[in-house]
Order: sequence, then C-alpha cells, then structure tokens
Amino acid sequence: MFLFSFPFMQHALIAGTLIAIMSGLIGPFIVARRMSFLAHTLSEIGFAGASFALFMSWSPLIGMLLFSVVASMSVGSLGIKEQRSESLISAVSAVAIGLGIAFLSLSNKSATAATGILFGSIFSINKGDVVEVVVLAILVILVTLLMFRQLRHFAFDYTTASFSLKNIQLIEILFLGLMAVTVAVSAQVVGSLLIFILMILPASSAMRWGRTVWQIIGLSIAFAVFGVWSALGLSFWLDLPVSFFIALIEAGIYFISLSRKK
Amino acid sequence: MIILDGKDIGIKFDDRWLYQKVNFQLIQGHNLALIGDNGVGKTTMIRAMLGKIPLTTGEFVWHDNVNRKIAYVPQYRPDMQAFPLRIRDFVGLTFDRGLRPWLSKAEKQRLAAVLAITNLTDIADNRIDNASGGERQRAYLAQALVSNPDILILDEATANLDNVAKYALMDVVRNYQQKYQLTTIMVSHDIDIMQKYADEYLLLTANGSEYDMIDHLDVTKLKEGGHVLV
Repeated sequence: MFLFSFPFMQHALIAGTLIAIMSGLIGPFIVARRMSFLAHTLSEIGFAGASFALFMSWSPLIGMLLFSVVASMSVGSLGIKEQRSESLISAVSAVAIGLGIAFLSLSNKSATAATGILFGSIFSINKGDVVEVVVLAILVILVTLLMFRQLRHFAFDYTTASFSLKNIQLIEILFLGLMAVTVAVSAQVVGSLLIFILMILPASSAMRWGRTVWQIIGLSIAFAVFGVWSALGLSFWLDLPVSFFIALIEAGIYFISLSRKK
Repeated sequence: MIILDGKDIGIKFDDRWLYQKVNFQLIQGHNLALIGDNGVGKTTMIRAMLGKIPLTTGEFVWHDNVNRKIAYVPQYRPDMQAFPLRIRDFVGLTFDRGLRPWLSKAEKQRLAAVLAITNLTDIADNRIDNASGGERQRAYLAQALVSNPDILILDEATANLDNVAKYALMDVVRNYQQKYQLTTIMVSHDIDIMQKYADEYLLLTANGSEYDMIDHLDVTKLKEGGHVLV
C-alpha cells in the first residue's frame, strides 16, 4: 500500500497497533476495578515527568515512565478510600500539571514539544522510539497474561478476591505498575491529556457487549486497534491530528454501545 | 473431629471490648451459627478467624492441616452490579491460582459440577446482573464452592431472600455439606433457618458469649434480653 511506503507511517503503524493492543488488554481491568480516574491522574503526573525529561534533555518517555511508576507505587501504599478520594486526586493533578508547565518553561522548548506531550505525536517518532514502545508494550502484555487469573479476580470481584488471594497487596502494586507503564507508553500516541481514549473508552464500550472476561478483552482490543488504524489513515489524508480521530472514533463506539439496551 | 478451638477470644476496638472470654469449637462437617445483635462484631470475629485482624486476647488453635481452604461469602457485594458477566464466568472468577489464562479440563468439570449442585446449570449463560436475588445468592455460593473449600463462611446469606429462596439456598448448602464433609459457619439473624440447618451456635454479646448445641438455644431469652434477632 502506498500509505505505508513512508517510514514514519510504518513506525506509527507498528507503535500504534501495539499500544492499542496493550491498552485494550489492560483497560477492562482498570474499568472493572474502578480506577479510571487514577489512570487519568497518572497521565497528568506523566506529563510532569515528560516535561521534566525535556528540561533534562532526556527522552520524554523516560520521564513519563519514571514519574508515573513512582506515583503509582506511592498510590499502592494508600488505602482504597484515599485512592478514590476526589479531592486528593484533584490536588495531585493540580500539582502535576503545575510542575509540567514549570519544567516546560524552564526547558525553553518550543510549543511543539508541549503539544506533542499533551496531545500525542505519533508521526514524529523515530526507529529508536518504536523499539522502546515495542519492548515495553510486549512486556506489559506478557506480564498481564501471566497474571491473568489473579488480575481477573482482583478486578472483577475485589470483595471475594481480598479473601481468596493471599498476596493481594503484591498483585495490586504490580497492577498499578502495569497501569503506569501503559499510561506512559500510550501517551506517545494519544498524548497525556487524551489517555482515556485508548485505555478507558474501548474497555467501557466492550463492557456493554461482552459476557465473559475474554469477550470483554477481545472487544476492547478490537475497538482500540480499529480506532488507531482508522485514525492513522484519516489523519494522513485529511491532515488533522491522529488523536482527534481516535477520540472521535472511540467516543462514537462508546455512545453507540451506551444506546444499546443493557 | 474438632477443626478449630477458639480459646478465651477477646477483641478490643479503641478501648471498647466487643467481647471477652469467648470459647467455642468448630467441628468438621458441622454447621455453626454465629448469632448476635447488629454491631456486636460477628463479621469482626470472622475476619479475626481468617487472620485479617489480630486478637486482643486468647487464640485460635487449628487442628487441621495448614493448607486448609476457607471460602467466604461476604454480606455486601458492591462490585457485582456493574458487569454483565455470565453466571458461569462470574462463578469461575475464583479460579485465581496459577499462570494459565484459560481453564483446564479438570477446572471446567469442577465448574460444571458446582453449577449443577447449586441448580444453576440451566441459567449458567444468563447474565448475573439480570438474575433474581435467590439465583444471585446461589451464584455467590457456587463461586465460593468452586475452590473446593474445607470451611465455608456464609455472612447473612439469606438476609435478602424470600421464604422459598432462602430454604432453597440452605438446602443446597446442606446437601453439599453432607456429601463433602464441608464445615460451615453461618452468620444469621434468622431463627428458623438456624434451628433447621445449624448444629451448634455461638451467641456473641457485649456481656459474654454462649456456645452450645442449637437445640439448647433459648429463643425466648434472646428476645426478652433486648436481643431482637429476627
């Protein structure tokens, strides 16, 4: 295909597909465990991390990984009440975004860099970035599959899981770690402001249709991959940002799913 | 055979004793009814038994093997409504050990057997959020039984069920219990249910506890003493 004769398009396709699979796989667990807002907060913390990386002249992905993983580990030490406390989350988001702006301003980078972090910049990633994304995404997918049984019980029925799984705290921390890596890597495509569109929306739509955990995950991955592929094509032809099209497509699927009688 | 000896159990929360000097035994294959007012600390006792919270005084002495499996059917299920999982898959959530993402043949057989015992086979492919109260409670029970437990703890399992459904549920428990020598502890406020299905009872009050055969339970005394149990 003519579209994929461009190297930047090939990179975008490989990275985008893997990120969609990873987000689609982990999303249902996040939605079932009701941690969607935590995922969003992690992405804002990741934004601070990415700006810090620009300031230090590192790769933004490294900064995002560093900040979101450290943040998720500190969240793991909080109780569930604090994790779901809206005011605490608001305060943390505020500090994270504030820090992000400060680092951006200190780094003297152009507005393009900021837009890239906030809204994604999949067409500008190079071969080295693709390798990073591929390695991290495969790592997340493998760990999730190895922990599948534990995560399934943990996310879909926490009440009994807390009695049945003896090492539930370890599982929780590992899960938060997976979430943090997924947030950091997904932000490369959709940007840290739009993290919901690959991690939460496809999973929420899938939950309206799926009857088993595998069906939900399968649909969630299918919705995410479909969104990324269509958006890459549309973005190439219409010259508008990829994130914009992913957002429209995933929200569209979600609204169609919502209108379906439960 | 005695599985568990509760010796001089006392639990204190913020300077307030919930109860002290509680003595009881758990006998294999029997059904122990745990009785007491709301707020007396029945669920706390169970959590202590499961090792989730420490005892202030006394000890639990277990006489069975260390690898005993305890299945707990909690009273509140806040998460369940949100997902349209099939009953079969909801019950199967308890297969939470090991690395294999899918179910083995033996696990599928176990799942089918438990669905049959709990009378869920015909509706196993229906959604749990559309099931009736009785069906749901049986699904919770099945979810606990799938792990092949040695001890089953039912926390107010019949509280929200109508008269037909609650006996149907407890019949399932009793059949399973007799077939597999399952030991059961049930927290209940329902005197009829306790008298029909329990073997022993443990009454918890702030002033003391009482452990005896269920036939010796003096129902009138319970009501007169301000302990409204039903």
